[in-house]
Amino acid sequence: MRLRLLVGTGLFVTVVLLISQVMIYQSIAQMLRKEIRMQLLESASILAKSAELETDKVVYEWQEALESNADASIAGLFQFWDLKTGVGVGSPALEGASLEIFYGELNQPIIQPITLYDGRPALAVGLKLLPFLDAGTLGEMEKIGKFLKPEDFPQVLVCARETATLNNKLGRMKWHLFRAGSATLLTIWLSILAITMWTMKPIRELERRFEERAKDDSGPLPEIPDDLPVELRGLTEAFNRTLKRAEAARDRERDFAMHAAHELRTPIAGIQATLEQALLRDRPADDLRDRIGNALLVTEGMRGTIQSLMKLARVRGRIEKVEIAAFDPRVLVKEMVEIERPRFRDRKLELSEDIIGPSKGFASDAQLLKIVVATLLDNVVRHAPEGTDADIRLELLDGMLLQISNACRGLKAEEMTRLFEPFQRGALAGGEGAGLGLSLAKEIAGLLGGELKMDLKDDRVTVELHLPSLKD
Amino acid sequence: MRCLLVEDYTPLRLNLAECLTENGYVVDASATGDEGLWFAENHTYDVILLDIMLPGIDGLKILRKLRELQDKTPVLVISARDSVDHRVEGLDSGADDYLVKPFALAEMVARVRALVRRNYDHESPVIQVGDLCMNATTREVTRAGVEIVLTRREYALLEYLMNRAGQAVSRTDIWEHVYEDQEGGSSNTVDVYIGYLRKKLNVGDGSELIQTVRGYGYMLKEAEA
Repeated sequence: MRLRLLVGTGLFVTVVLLISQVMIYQSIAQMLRKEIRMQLLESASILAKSAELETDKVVYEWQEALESNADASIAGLFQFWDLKTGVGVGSPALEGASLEIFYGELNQPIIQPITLYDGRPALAVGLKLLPFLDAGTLGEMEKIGKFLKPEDFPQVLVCARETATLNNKLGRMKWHLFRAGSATLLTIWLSILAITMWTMKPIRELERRFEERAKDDSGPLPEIPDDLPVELRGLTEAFNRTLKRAEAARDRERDFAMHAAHELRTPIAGIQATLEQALLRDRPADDLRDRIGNALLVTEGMRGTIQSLMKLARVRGRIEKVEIAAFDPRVLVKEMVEIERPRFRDRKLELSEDIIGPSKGFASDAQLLKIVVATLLDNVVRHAPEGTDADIRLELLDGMLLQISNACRGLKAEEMTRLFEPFQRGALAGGEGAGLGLSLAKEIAGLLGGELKMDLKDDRVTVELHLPSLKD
Repeated sequence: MRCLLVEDYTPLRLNLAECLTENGYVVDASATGDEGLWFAENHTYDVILLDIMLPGIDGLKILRKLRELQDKTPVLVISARDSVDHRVEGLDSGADDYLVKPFALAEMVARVRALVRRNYDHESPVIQVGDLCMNATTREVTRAGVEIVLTRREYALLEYLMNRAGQAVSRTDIWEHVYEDQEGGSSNTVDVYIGYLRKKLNVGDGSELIQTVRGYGYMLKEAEA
């Protein structure tokens, strides 16, 4: 990013600087050349008036001034030509050399670059003009009866100014502009570099913190540096939130896999120990049969655990298909209670049922609901102390509310939250079951758009299942 | 030797307890962490076998609690957690050994034997007191080169005495470490078994190895010349 910023900004600034430098140079050069043109035109205008038609010829006042006054000096490079005679008269500065002759229409000056006699470049104006005829000369012509017309004596004036000095000046200016531009560019580039480095410092610090944390991939997420640019703060916070959720999910899955391995390793150890003990010595057939039967019971338990694991994985992964249909929850709950009733009886658990509300209009997935209800009833049978009572209350007013409460001595309040986590068993579970039932039930309740809660009060636990009626 | 087994999975607990019993250990088996901790805090054991994931207090908490109480009983962790991190965590919490489920019973018994041996500062499984020699691995006992055949209970009693050779041990201690609680009986039973043992050890030069400590118990020591 820093390199892109540097290169991008550098290129952009270079282009802008280059364009501005060229424009500055062009406008200054144009202005100077324009000034020379103006001066040339002004000089030509003045010199044009120095060509005067006398009674017999054209004279140049500047030449007369030179001839009459030895101290007089006339500066500038210019030359007059009499087009009638073809004779040219050059200024003293020409030192006898001649300028190139060019001209346009009468009194229409033309400016063009020329090369001087000594090879220097110059800018020159060429002007075709008619000599000036003053009133005095006209009077004299009348006296002598000789009338000359200026039109018969067309003149050409070429006035030049060397441009080598100007070109040198412009060349030096180019060099100054280049140096100034380079210095400006370097300054800007260094400034960008410094600003970028200063701006990137908190980003690098954040990167370092993430790298440090990535070494063991644990612990709290790195704190966002206070001086991190505001523009990146939101992004970083969002990234941290996402990372936190992803890591929590990863930890959950890791725990899940670890627990799953535990729940399978332990029964395998049980089978191995049972069979090793069976084979350790000669045993009566009945004893051997009992031991093999026990090993089979363990495999049955494992099968149940694996089925629950598969179901849980499917529900969690939202692979389990929800088949919504209208049904009567009252009938479903009663059926499930009747299935479990012998087990309730065996444990001398007194069961009371209370059903409120009509049944019409309730729709959900009956098969999934059966799993939840069976799990909740199974938990009551397993954990309610023998000889106690259990209450089942079904309310069908707004969706479905199933409450099952029973005595549960010894269950601790701090255990309540983790009972819904996979493989967690209460202190009274006695090692029976894989601890997947409540977790699976909660996941299914969530899948059906509902909620499963548990409350402990006065050694009595109440499980509440809220389910909305889903559209068929 | 008395050991405590804390394992919540019933089929495994029953078989481990049976296996240990058959190897001459007196076993207290517990299915929950709370009960296991109570047993450990209120009884003296030669070795504890401890599962980690238990209902109630987990095995690591029990382990840390025992070490906080300066209880140095050797602990063999038996767990399904097989990662290096978990093994390190278990050992750092005070476990003396770590066995990952599933495991062979023979290996478990060997590790228990090794822990007990280490606890009594025996470098090898062979314990020798005078001309009496006991191999804890093969469970063979000889005196002056003559093999002595012992019952499981007699072997356990002799092993207990040999591990504490030169120390007076009370009848109560012998009872607690060699006999099951539910067996009934009394200190007289100990005296009866001591009598059996004395008869069987009466080989070689015939010197008495098991001395009676009046009003207290017994002591096994090398016969004085």
